Amino acid sequence: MQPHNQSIPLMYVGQGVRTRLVCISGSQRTAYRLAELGFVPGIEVSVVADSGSALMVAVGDARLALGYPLAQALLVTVLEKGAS
Amino acid sequence: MTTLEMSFHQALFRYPPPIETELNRLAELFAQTPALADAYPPRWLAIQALEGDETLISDIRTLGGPAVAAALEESLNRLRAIYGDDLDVVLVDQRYRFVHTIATQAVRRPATPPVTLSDRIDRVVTNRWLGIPIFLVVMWVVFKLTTDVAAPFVDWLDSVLSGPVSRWIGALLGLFGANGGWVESLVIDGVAAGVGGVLAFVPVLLTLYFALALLEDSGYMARAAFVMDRLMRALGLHGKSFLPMIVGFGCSVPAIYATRTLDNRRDRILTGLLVPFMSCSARLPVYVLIAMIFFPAHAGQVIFGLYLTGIVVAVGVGALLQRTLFHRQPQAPFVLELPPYRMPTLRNVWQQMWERTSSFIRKAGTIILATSIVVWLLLAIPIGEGEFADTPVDQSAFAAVANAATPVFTPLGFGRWETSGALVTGLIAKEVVVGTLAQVYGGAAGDEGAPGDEAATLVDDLTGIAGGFATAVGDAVRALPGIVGINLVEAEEEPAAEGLATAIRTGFMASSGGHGALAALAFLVFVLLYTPCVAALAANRHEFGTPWMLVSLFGQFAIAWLAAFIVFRGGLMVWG
Repeated sequence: MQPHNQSIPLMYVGQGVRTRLVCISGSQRTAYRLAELGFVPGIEVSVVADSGSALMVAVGDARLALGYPLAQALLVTVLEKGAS
Repeated sequence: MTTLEMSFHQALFRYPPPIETELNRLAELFAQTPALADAYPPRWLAIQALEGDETLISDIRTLGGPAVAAALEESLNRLRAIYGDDLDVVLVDQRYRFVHTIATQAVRRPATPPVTLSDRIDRVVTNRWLGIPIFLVVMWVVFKLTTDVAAPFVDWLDSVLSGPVSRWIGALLGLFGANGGWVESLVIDGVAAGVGGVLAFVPVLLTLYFALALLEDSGYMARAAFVMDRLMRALGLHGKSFLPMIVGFGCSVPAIYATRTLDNRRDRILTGLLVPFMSCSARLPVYVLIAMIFFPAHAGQVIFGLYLTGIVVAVGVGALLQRTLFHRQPQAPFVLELPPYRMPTLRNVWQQMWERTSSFIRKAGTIILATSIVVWLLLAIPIGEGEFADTPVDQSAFAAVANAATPVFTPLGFGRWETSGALVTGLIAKEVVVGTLAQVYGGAAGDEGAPGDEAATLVDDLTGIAGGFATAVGDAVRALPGIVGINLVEAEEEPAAEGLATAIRTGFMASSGGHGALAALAFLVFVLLYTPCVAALAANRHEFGTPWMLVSLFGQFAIAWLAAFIVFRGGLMVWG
């Protein structure tokens, strides 16, 4: 896994930026819930839209609405443009 | 194919060694216990037991006996020593990692994931600033559809039911020699007026359900929940609670049951209490009837305003409840899956329209029929002068009963026994308000246009019905551009049911001291907000218990009374 100091919460990366999920902060319960929805470390995620209180997140082919507190718990690294 | 799956299952997918050891131990034990091995696959049962499935663990205890139960307990203890309380998390995580590994190896994806059409639509539709305005425009179109476009068909159906159909029933009764007596009165003034008055609104409901089905099937409904999340926070809820609320625009009963999808009890109860403020489709016929009479040129705006009022009141009540009854309980996190946009299929849309409309028609055949008969009976029984089935309406038992409730409504501008009686019967089902109004006021207005006078032939009737339908289609098509604001249809006087309209208008004028329109508006606000129908109360009690049901019953009555008071008295101060 990537070192944590390079990662930022998904909340702050902005729309359309491709990122990779590093880890999930917060309780194991939260991690478990999110893993069930497809948020496993290593997967690519990006923000499609921001409603002002929740993010619409693209995980693989699925689109999920996540409240800000959950979006705060997802720690990601920003992928360079063109890199995979 | 099967061998491949088998080998995946057996060879590739393994849990970490300590878990595997315990799984094998338990699976072997379960396989040797016939009571368990017959009921479940042993390895699956072992996995479920380690994940903590309570139902299955109690099954293992009862079916497997004390020895098996003890073995399970030992296995769990050994694993807890390693993984702590997160054993289930480890198991789930392991599975998802496995799935992810296979998927990355097997599925080839472009290096840069393409931006899908759904995403591009979502960038506009769910935009932080455009999202809510777009949602409001969508809702506006829906309500214009249900009023302007459906209205010509309501008029047509109403004239068919109260004209030819009533005549045919009268003729049919004549064949059995039952014409002229109380039986004819029961069938024509009771059943045909009551049930028919409600059935006439089927076109409105068909249009509403059509629009809701389109929104659901296209995938927009889930976006609406996402967009509305920010507003829902004001109610102390989140976007997921918005879906039961939207269902509430159809009917409160399924909406209250739909709160089961929410993650904790606090959210369920709070949502369940707010759902009845979403104006259900049963209230729509009442709005259409009253708004067409008092605000013929602005019926769409008045009805849209009522829907908005419901939402605003829900926001206020939600904020209040959140700070009082619920202020210590945290809410569950907001997670909602959004399906990609799809073209709605005709078949699906039709199926939903039909399912919901037919349940409304069934209700008309049962509960509304029963109330119509009870109302007719109460109208037929004389308290003052007159004899059975030939009682002046204001001398009937119905008037006496309704009169008892009337003083409550006098300060609101509609303190007449006709309206208070209608409101009381509306507790059975909101659309009954229309049926009762038709019965009470119809009795007074029906004299001029009594059926059976004209010697119309069946052929005349049928051509009349077909011609009326063609006119209705024409009117509806001409009303379509009006949805976007271009009004081609002149505001014309309602030709149909003019007797009923006049009677209702006169009634409201008399009760409000000449401010009929204002009183009608207060009446509509009251109908919007007052105590939910018995079916919704029953659903509420079933889901949340008697105390919350009582909160809903009395709370909403108080809120409705206050709101109607503010509308009527406030209006008097401004314009009076």
